[in-house]
Parts: sequence; C-alpha cells; structure tokens
Amino acid sequence: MNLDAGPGTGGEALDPSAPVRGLGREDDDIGRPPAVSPRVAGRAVQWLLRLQSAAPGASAEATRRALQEWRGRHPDHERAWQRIEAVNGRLRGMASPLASAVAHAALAPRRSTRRRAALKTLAIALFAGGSAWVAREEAPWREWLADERTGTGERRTVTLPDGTTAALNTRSAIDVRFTASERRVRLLAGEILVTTGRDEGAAARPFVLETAQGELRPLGTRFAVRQYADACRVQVYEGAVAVRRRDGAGREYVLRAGEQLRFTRGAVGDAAPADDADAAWADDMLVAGGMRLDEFLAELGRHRPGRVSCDPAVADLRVSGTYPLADTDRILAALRSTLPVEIRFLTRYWVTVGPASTPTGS
Amino acid sequence: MPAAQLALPRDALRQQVQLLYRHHHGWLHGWLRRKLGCTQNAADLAHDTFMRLLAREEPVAIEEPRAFLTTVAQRVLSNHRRRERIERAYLEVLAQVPEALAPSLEERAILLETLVEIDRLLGGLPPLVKRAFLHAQLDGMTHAGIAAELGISVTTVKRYLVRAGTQCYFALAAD
Repeated sequence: MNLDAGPGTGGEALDPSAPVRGLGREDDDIGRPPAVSPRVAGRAVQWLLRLQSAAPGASAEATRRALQEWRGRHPDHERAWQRIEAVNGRLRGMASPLASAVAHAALAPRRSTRRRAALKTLAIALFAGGSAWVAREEAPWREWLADERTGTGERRTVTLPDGTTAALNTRSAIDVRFTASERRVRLLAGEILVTTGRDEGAAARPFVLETAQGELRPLGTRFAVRQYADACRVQVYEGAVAVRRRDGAGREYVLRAGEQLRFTRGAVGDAAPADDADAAWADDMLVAGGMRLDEFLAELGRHRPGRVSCDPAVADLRVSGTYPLADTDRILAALRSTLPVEIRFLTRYWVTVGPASTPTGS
Repeated sequence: MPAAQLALPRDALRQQVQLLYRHHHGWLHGWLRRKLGCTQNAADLAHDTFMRLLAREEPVAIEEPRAFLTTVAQRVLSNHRRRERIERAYLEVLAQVPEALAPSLEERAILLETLVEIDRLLGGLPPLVKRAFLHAQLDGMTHAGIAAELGISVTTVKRYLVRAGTQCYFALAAD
C-alpha cells in the first residue's frame, strides 16, 4: 500500500461489487458499514491517520480543511467519513484504562503474558500524558497509578497527583494507590525519599507510606525510607513522621526532623540522629564520612549490576568522600588510589576488593 | 429496491418463525447441546437464535430450514464464545484493580457489549495489528508512541492502522 500517495483524488463511484447482505450478514450494534468502494474506504482511513499524526496547530488545521474539502467532493466520501466517526465515537466512549486493559487482554492477547500485558497497558494508559481520558473528569481512574520501578543503578523521581515527589533509589519499587479517603504509597523494595505535597480539595486525605513492617504517616515533611530484608529504616529530614507497626501492636512513635528509626515487624529500635549523607543518592551521590569499607562497598553494590565483595582483611578500612554514582567503575578506581586495596574484576559483574600487593589466596 | 418490499409485515415474520420453532426447536436444541456439552446453555442459545430471527428485517428462508437455522445458530454460538472469552479477560484484569474502582454493573454491561462488537469487527486480524489499532483508538497514543511500544517502525504502524481501519470501519480487507 502506498501511503505517500495520500488521500485526496476523490470522485470514486459506487462499487457495484459491494457485498450484498442477506442471510450471511452480521448482526451489528454499531450498524452496517455503508456500501462504499474499497478505494474510498481506504482513503477515508488514510485521512484519519493524517489527522492523528498532524502536529497540533496550523498543520492540524490545514489537514482538517483538506479533509472537509474531500468530504464535500462526493457523497460516498462523506458517508465513509461519517462511518469512521460513528465507530470512533463508540470507541471513545470506553476510553478508560480498565476498558483498554480488558480490550488488549481479550482482543489481542500476548502468548504467555496476558495478565502482565494488560497491566502494562493500564500503566501506559495512566501515564501517557496525551491520552484523551486523562483530560476528563473520570475519577478515580486519574488517581490510580500503576507501579513505579527502578533498575540497578537507576534513580528516578516521580511526582504523584497531589504534588508529592518520591525519589526512587536503585532497585526500588513502589505502588501508588490514591483513593477518595487516603493517599497510600507502598514501598515494595529499595528506598525512597518522599517530599509530601499538600492535598488540595475539601477534605485533605491522609498520606500513608506502607512498608512490610509498618505504616508511616508523615505530617508535612521530607523523609526517606529504606526497605531491608526484614526491617525498614526511616529518616526524617523535615517535619515529623508517625510510625506504627504493621500488626498495629505497640504504641505509635513520632519521629521529629533529624531523627531516624529502624524497626522490624515485631520490634521498634531507639531513635537515633538522622544522617543527611544517607539521602545523598537522591542527588546522584554516594557520601561517606569515615564509613567502613565493607559497608561502603555494600552500598556501592546496590548501584551496579552483579556482585561487589569485600575481603575481610580490608573491611575495617575507612572511606571518606563524595562520589558521583553515575560511574561506579570510577568510584572503584578512586578507592585504589586512596586506600591500600586492589580491585579485581573477575568479570565486569564480579568485583572483589582485597588488600594491595598481597597474594590473593584467600 | 422499493422500501415497501423490505418492510415485511411483522405478523408474517412472526408466523414464519413460529413455524420454524414448532418444527425445529427440539432439533436445534440438540444440535447446540452437542456443540456446547451443556443443556442449560443450549436452551439459552436456542432461545437467542429464535429471538434473532424475530428481530430480522428480511424474511426468513424456509426452503432449507435446518441449514438456515444452523447458519443463524452458528453465529449465536460464536458470539457466545466470544463473550465468554472477553468476560474471562475482564475478570482477570478486574482482579488487579482495587475493589473500590470496579465499574458498576451497568458500566460493565456496556463495556462488555462494546468489546464484543470491536472484537468481531477486528476478527481475523493479526494480534499486532489489533494492538496497534487499540493503542491508537482507545489509548490515544501517537503513531511514534505505538511504534516504540510494539517495537516496529512508524511506517509499519501506519500500514497496520490502515489494515485494521478498513476492516473495522468498513468490513473490508485492505489491499
């Protein structure tokens, strides 16, 4: 098919070979398509594509005018275009993320990942800024957001519908569930730095950050939460955060700015001073002030694929400095120039840091 | 064709359908039961088949009544299967959505109805062509966005959209 020829050379006559409909016809709620020639039908569809891909403004306006002219040239053109508009009107009537997800799952399933494909579609629909439905007042769809994830070495900041920003550290994942009664963010993995926004509207909805171990309710604030295997740590940089264990047992702790707290499902530790350096990742930095080398490498390891291991012989060495996370190879190289260590690359994905000029037998 | 000939008197049509019903309903029910393996559904679909005949604008063909009934029932049957498939997908997707956001029964009915129609209009097209069309018409994605999503060129996206469009809007195969 030659798309470059484009629409616009009208004057086609009715096609006498158009299918005669009788017993074999489909009962069709959208109605029967008009009997137009395949050529006119093809032209009409190409006009639709032109309209869709015309840049907004003068170009779209010119396309619309040209289409108007084509429609006026023959009754068949007009009927063909009417048909497209009628069907598209029906389709637009169900332009919600749910409808779209079901349509993709049911009408064009992918072989083995039907469910995931549908969810991906939901996410696309929810985040595709230009989609028609976004502009419409179709609560609560606008506020139901799909998961956000970062890969290894990736750091990203997402802005939630209430203006809250959530910076995701490497290998992190959150679910965002905003409903009429609350704004809930679930930390599934990794670490986030949250700067809460003010919820507008008649009734301000509480903001809840949920982790595997408990719930945090910030009170106009900036705070970071990191999910460990069986614990989580919260550091408050501004405002205050109320902490409650997931099982609801125990009292509620209120952390003030400058405090941090580590807690598990069953136990809440003592509040300790917060460390700004722990949130430096949000500025793409790794900041160490006298940090043990094994801890430093564990931290670094979160930001690069593969494995970074530390020989116990050098684990006690101390590291200080501000390192840009954009290039973790350079951080490793910098370590060698400041500490008595050797960096061994077994592969790009398996790095061992050991003592310098020592046989690597251990 | 003058309009008068198209408009079959309702009474005449009803009589024809009644006749078909009296002589062939039992047979049709058996035919559907063999296809479905379920008496209950077969009874429903047999009923749907006759209802569909009553809603027709053209006279029913009575020369070959069973062949005729089979043709109509075949369509009812494929519609039934299509609806089942879409309902299954719908329930699967719905399971992922918070309960509070589930559509009302009415919204659900309209949604399923429309999906069944679109599914039929897009019937037989390759999955990738369908996906391109759904992205364009339901998700409002740009051609470039669809190309990126499906991992194909913008030219191919346009070719797919012409193909899906000529079939969906005009029931024609694109050349």
